Amino acid sequence: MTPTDILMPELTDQAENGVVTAWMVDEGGHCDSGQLVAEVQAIKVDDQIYAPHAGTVVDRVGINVGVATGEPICRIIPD
Amino acid sequence: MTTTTERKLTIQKAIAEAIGLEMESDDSVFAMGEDIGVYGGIFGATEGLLDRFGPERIMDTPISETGFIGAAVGAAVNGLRPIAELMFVDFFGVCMDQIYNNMAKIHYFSGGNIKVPMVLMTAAGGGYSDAGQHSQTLWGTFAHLPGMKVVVPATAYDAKGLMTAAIRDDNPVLYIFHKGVLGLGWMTNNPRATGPVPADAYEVPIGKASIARTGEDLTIVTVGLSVHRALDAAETLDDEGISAEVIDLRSLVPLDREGILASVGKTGRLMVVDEDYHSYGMSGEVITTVVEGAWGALTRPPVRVTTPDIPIPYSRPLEQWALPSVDRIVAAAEQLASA
Amino acid sequence: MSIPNDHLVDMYETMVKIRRFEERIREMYFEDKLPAFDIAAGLVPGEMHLSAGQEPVAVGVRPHLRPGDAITATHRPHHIAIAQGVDLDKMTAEIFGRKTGLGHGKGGHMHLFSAEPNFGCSGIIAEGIPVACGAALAFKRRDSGNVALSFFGEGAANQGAFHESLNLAALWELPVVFICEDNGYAISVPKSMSTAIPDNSDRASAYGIPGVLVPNNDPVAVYEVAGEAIGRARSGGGPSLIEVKTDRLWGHFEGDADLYRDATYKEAMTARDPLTTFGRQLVDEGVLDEATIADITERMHGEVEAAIEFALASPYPDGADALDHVFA
Repeated sequence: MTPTDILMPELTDQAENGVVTAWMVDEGGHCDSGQLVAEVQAIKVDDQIYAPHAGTVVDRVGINVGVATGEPICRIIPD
Repeated sequence: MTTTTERKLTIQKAIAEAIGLEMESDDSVFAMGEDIGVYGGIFGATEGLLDRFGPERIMDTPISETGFIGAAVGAAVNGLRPIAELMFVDFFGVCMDQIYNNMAKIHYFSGGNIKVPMVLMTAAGGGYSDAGQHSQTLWGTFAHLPGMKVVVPATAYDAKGLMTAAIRDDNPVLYIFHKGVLGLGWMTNNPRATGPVPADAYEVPIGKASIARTGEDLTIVTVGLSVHRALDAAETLDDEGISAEVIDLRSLVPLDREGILASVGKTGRLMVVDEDYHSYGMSGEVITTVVEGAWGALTRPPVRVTTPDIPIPYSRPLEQWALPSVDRIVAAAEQLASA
Repeated sequence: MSIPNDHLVDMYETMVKIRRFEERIREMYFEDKLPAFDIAAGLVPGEMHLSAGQEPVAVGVRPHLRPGDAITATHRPHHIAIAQGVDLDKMTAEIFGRKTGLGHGKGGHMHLFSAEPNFGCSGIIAEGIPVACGAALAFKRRDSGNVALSFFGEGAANQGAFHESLNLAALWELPVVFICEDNGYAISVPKSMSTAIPDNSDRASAYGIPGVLVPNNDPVAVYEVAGEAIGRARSGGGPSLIEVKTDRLWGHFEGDADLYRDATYKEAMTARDPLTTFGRQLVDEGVLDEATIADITERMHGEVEAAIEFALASPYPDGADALDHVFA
């Protein structure tokens, strides 16, 4: 299975960017399928990002760095 | 249950998770408060719970604190286990009678025959310019009044464990969470607000402090967001060759006096960092505890870094000056540690 | 309408000024807070509760005010303060936390206090209602002919202080008018979920005082009802309760995702925006024309901009100033 890019969702039509406000897994850390991995936010609309499958979380973007809707916030390398 | 996963949550999510787990396992547990339903709580303490448990157990209330907190007391006396949310601790003024004269005293008045197993949870703390009526901590006020336990978690692990313990405790517990370290997306980001939290239910004992950082040269006793300020200060002090031990009280009632004395017994120097007002409060209580119980161990007079006896001002330079900051803690520690 | 044209024009001008102020504060509030919304960042840190849509309640009362009348308001105070004539420069400077502000930066947007005109507001729900009773008591004692007005939301009408205040005002026959701005929501909680009856104006009878409902967000209706209530109070006839069904066009606070009100509801509010409808009404009745509206807009926008420039040019207080003014 190829690694999965986790993308910034569209949070609100008032902003083209969102930010990650908290990472729930470390860089290189392991996550289970369905585990909460990050919280994202755009103009106070927030959302939770869950892992679509188990794996290793890499290439996490920084906290509070603007990420355009549809761009990756991290990648999960499957077990 | 162990996994190879280190699972982290923000303090806000840890609180909501604890409440959700207890509500699943005990159907006498329910919550009341303003905007706790669809909104999930202004600070997210009940996020996602309305969908899981419905409006009979996650009850949005009118702005009637005396009414619904008094009702929580009545419900607790009569077989339920309510969690009432006071949106901001600053709002206690409109409903304090139900809290300190009723909730806290019924068990005593009844000679132990009647229990009041309720949690009063509330948001506290400043630093983000919410001004004098929305920025206070006020734990000293509540800790001073007999009959209610008072807990203030500073980590995600403790937030979940203390909430679980508070819900299971047959006594009234005031659960104060500091807004500045909840991990909310709309507050200034604080990386310490996120930490490892086991997925299953567990308790953190009420009445036990934790050593947030071990050290040899001085003891910093503190609670809430100030724990993280102290930890930041301790890193700077480390570079200066000063080893600070940071005690996170976690509970103010009961107060872990033994834990405080043990640390000061080791270091001989005490600093208290308290975001609550300077006079007549937590900092005075901790210092007096040490004066009474470890006088011989002290090699320096104790010092305290607190908010002065002023209403918390709005303007950013005023507020940042008034609240206990990392710089103030470092400066006080340097003084305390100097020969 | 039997309302003098100059009152109508003044009400419209004030609505334009209020709306422009709220829009500009909103713009400046979001500066430097994004992409990650950080409530503590930027030119206007902290919470911000704006009153766009609620202008009619404030401007309808305005023409009946006299110097020395006291107003207490809430965490959503700007429209009322502007309508009463609070110094806009100092109010703006206070919101921006500057030394030249009404409170030298100590109070901020939820705690605006002015001695002249007599205005105060609070962040605690219903806190100002008994205070208005006290002002009325002082006016009655001194026989000054002044009245006190207490503005609060429909959420506050479920707080104990509201009920105690109405009883006290009735008992002591105080020259106070209670004005409930029913914008339908207490943060996210709709009135149907907080209040056992549909109209707070009906609660007046429980206290033996007149209660009047203004069922739509119409400055002229507010003018008429408020005129009668204020006149009654001023002539020694005692207190009254008014409830106005108004609209909170924006979220509870700036940064509120406002997901608890659906798109249909918000579109309906926009369609009945009182600034638009009142302007159109005055044009239809020949009180205003396009040229006067353009002139009013330019002048009011200019006043708002001048206040903002004053605030931005003002210094911040020094940190240690925090210790001043605890006691007189």
